[in-house]
Amino acid sequence: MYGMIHQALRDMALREITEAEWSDLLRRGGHARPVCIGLEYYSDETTMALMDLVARRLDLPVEEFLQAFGRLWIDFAGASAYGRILDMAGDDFVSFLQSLDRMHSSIRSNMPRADMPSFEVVAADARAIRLRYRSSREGLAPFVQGILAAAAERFDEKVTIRHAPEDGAVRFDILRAGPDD
Amino acid sequence: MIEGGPFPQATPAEGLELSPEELSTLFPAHLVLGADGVIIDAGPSLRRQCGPDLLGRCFFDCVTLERPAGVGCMDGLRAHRRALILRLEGEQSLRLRGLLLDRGERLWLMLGHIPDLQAEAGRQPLQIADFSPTDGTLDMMLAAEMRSGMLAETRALATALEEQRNKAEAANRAKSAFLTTMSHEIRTPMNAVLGVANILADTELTDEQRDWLDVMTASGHSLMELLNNILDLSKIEAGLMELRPEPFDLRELARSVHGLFAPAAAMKDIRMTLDFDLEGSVYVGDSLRVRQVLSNLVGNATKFTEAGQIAITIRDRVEEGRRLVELSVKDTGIGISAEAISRLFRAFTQADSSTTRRYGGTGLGLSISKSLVEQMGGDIRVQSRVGRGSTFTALIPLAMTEQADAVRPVPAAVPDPGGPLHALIVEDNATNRLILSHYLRRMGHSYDAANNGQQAIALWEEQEYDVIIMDIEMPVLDGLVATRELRRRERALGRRYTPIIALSADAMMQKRETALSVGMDSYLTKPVSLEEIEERIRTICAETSRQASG
Repeated sequence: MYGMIHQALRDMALREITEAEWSDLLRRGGHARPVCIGLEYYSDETTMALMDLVARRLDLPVEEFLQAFGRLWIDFAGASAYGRILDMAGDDFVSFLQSLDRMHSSIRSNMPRADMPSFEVVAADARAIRLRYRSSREGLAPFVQGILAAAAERFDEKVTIRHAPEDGAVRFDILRAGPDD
Repeated sequence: MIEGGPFPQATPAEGLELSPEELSTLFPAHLVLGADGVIIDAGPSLRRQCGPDLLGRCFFDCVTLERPAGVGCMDGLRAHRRALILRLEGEQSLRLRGLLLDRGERLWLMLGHIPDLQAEAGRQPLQIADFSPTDGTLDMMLAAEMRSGMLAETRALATALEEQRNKAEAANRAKSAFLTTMSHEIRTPMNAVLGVANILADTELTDEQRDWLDVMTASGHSLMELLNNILDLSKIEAGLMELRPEPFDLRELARSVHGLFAPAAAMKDIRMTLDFDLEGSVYVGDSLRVRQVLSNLVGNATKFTEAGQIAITIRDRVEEGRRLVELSVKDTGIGISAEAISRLFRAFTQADSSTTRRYGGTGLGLSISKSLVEQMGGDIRVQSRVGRGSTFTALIPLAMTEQADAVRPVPAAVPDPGGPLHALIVEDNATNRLILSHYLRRMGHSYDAANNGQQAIALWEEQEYDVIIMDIEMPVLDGLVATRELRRRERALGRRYTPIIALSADAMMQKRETALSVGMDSYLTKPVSLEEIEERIRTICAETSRQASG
């Protein structure tokens, strides 16, 4: 994955630990330098190892950590080079979800080694959205759940999210709370 | 790749009919004009951006054509049949580009957005869905954002680096200041320790007492050597080590170093030889630092050799147009393993910790020597075999000169100034005054003593002195101000010139230069021995006397 993920991890870690402790985590994760460059590519093993180190240091179960990291990722990306394209993703939550593949396609054209996931809005109405998520990576559904929850908040939506494996993909059922709920 | 001739004619798009959804997806910003120029249809992007009022309006009323410029009717558009660039005015001003398709009654304008990359993020009206999936504009927008992101990241990194560098420099300055202060604070009591040991050595002592005194003196000198090394290392690390090149006699320098260590080697039955293969004698370089390097190499060889011989060879040769002087020291000592050689030149590192326990030392000498040689543009190399011995070779670029006259002579025997002198000791530390008093008595001189510069000037007003030995850091009036004032009064009153020897605990070169610049004639660093002060008084007085008579 690209270094932006590592930079977001640093943001998350520094809420609880010191810069020196973060440097120590990086060193233990096999990083030769004390900083991560946003557009530098790191192997998935390196990124996953760093996530694992941060989760352990923050004393969070993996699923809980990934959800929290997904939530933070939206804020982090919004403040980064992705911010403008995030703003262009749509005026409402469904449009945003429908734009995700196009957004990832553009990101992929600028980050040729990025292995981007795919999102398909299978159905959407006022009460629920069904989303299909496909990725070559396993175990990141909680991370996506965190991203979806934070994205819903961007559009002032209160949602409840469940996910389950389905036909080699992951199905997300997003229950939308109406104004009276 | 098609072989054997021209490309086949493009297949006509027969059967390629787009559904409204496909048309909207592929050309979300298209416009359809009727024969009268009225907009009769628009893609979802333009409908969303411009509102429902767009349909039914005359194209030429709501559009500014940038290309083709000046066209204001349908015939003009038809005649153009080329690329279009236009600005569509509505709720949002949209810049578009595309192609015109003439389909009889209708003109189809297949357009795509030209985003304003300079617009602030919040003011950019376009969304991802406004772009065709076949349009790379979105990628370019993201690329532009990523470039600016990278620039911001680079700036942040540069700022962080600068802050870290500033912090490191501040820490380094603090360290240097600490070392200078520490040096000063240690030198003052060490002057007392070594001075009193010197005085004691002149008294009646039993053999056992003399042995203890020798241990005390040797330990004091070791401590001073360590202090000097730490100061040197500090200066090197802070980039403050300045070289002072001047012509010097290399043969004389090497003989002097040989003479210094040969007795210690002889006591271990080690034969120390000195050979020259030099084209000249006088070279230009910082003789003090060349001596320091050679002394370090010879000193190490003496320390780590138990039997056999130590061969010092001084050669020179011309390599790539510059003259290289080679200081080679070969011993038959304990030798160094290949693994230990790799860390040999690091500060505070010896071959192994047992070396420190057995032979003593801090491991600073080689590190300092290497830094000095590198600063002179050279290098130090080592070849060694455990149990067989080592050869250390310092290669230093030194220009040869024929200007023998330029070499500062080192007087072998300084002439006696001619009888007892009357000296003035200016020193605020009572112990140091006591020691200097003893030294002067031993030399057969008389003296007065002052606690500070103000008292010194008062005493000088009353009588002539042959020499003044002046501390620098003193309360009331320090040595620098007092010297400047004495020199001023000498000139104003027409009094004879009194040589002044600075005696300071500050070993930094800068202080020495300041002292000489205010009118002091010489500078000695504490601790000072009887021999040093005697030699310096002789030299300075002889020089003053020669100048006065000449």
